[in-house]
Amino acid sequence: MSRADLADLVGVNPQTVGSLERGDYFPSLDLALQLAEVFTLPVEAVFGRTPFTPLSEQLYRTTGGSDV
Amino acid sequence: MSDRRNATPLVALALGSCGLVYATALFEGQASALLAIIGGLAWFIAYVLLRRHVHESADLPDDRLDEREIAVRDRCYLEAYRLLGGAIAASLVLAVVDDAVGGVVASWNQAWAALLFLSAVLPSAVLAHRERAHPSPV
Repeated sequence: MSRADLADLVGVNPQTVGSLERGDYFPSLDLALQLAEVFTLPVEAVFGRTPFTPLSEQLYRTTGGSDV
Repeated sequence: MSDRRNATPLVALALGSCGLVYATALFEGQASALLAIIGGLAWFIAYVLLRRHVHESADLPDDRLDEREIAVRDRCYLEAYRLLGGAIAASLVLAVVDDAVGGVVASWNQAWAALLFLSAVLPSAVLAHRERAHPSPV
């Protein structure tokens, strides 16, 4: 999905999506919920107050480092 | 593209400032009518450049902007308001001090003209400066 597609879906300017990606702008609760709906994920899976760890690190932690 | 966009408000302010100096010098009898006309034109071009640069953010109604654009615009206008307040205070102090020492730098006419110019262009200049060129949507 492109930035423009996502922006269209939630009704914002594509530059706003870019600002969200870079962490330059923190969305309102309404916009955060709309974005979470688009990805069919809970809002805390899309936005958080601390940086997300890389997926590989999460997976390594879950499996205890075996078979990864 | 980014550099050009960010340079526009600075170029406009510089151009407008030069224009302002010439235009106000006419009041003091230090410039010819031709220079004053050129100065006035420079100021007008600077104003139009700035307004064109920020047209979308500054002139569209709220329902045509998203929440980030409204927040950025409002923050810029607040900053411009504070800057203008500082400029008014500084200009008045300068004019009073200058009068006291014999009026060698500026006159009240020039101070008022500078403030009028600033009040017209400062909100647009701050908004234009804050707007960053973002990568095109992928």
